[in-house]
Amino acid sequence: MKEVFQQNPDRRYIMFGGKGGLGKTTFSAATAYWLAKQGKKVLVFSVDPQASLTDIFQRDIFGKGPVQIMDNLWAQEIDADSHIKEYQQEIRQKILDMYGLPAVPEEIEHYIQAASAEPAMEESAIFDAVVDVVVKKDFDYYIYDLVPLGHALYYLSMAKVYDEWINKITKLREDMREYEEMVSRLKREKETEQDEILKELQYIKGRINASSSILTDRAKTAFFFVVTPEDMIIRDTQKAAVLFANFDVPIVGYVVNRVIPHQLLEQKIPDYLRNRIQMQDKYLESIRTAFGKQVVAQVPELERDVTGLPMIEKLAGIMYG
Amino acid sequence: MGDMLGIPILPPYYSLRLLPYVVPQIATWKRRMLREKDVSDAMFSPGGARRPPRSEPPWE
Repeated sequence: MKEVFQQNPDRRYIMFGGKGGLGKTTFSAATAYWLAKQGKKVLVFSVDPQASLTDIFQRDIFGKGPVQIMDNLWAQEIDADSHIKEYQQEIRQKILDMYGLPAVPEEIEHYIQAASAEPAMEESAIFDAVVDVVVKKDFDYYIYDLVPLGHALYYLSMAKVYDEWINKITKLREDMREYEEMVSRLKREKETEQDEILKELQYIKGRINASSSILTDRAKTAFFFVVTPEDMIIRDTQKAAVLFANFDVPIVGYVVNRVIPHQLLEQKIPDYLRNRIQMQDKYLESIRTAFGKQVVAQVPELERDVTGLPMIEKLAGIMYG
Repeated sequence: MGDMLGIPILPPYYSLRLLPYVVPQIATWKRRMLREKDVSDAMFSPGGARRPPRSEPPWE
């Protein structure tokens, strides 16, 4: 792991992805800790509505913006819910101002409520909030504690699909505008009013691009998959890797988590554990076959949960020692 | 709303940004739908026998 960072100092956006519960948050925290100890200013933040940075740092950081954990290390959990509420209020205010209404019409209010209940609303809201976090460039490193695979793919595909969509519609609206201008020139009318919707579309496109361009930037971004030596996990990760590669995500390596230490075999251990270790050897072999040199670290199953700075330090020592 | 109004289908978060601009269209949406129905009725139903006569043509 250490060499990966030392050889590529320009990669400032570090992401950990993988199935749920494999250790994305743990590795994000350990990596952030190590980089901070190297003297880099680091922000680790979660894009998951069910974030667990609060648990791992044992500090309530939810919705509080970047919270300093120690020298050089900040952590942030975005509160999607209040973000959405503020945003809804902005929209309501805009409607009131635009039309000089005393209250938002009932049908419109229903639409606002319905749109906010969409399942993808939280993810989109966080996706948008991340843009504000990373464009400030206040930190040397940004560590993304990503959402589980399915959501992450949605996140990525959203960027690609919507970008194409918006390009198409923007082009149409621009063409329309040209005709309108031509007509108004012929009629010697004053200039047509600005297409406000077009402006909004261009803004949205800019937001989506800002976020997705980082996710797919080979020079500045490193994406790590977290796997464990288990059959299903390996298969799912392989499938996901293909999909992620299709979306141009720069996959830099695989980190194997929860490896039961082989030294245990030298001790008197029950058959149950002995069998687990043998089975694991087989899966570690298939991980080597599947990912080869891209396996950048192998992390043992620790004797207790990784929560709190001393355990994070211990894990960072194992990963980057 | 959406592509019928020349606006792409967006992530729900972003589609809300466009809502203020289409408020008038949404407000008149029902009326326009009814109007359309009345026009086709006028064209295809024989004399509109089952309906009570209207005081004015519905498409004006």
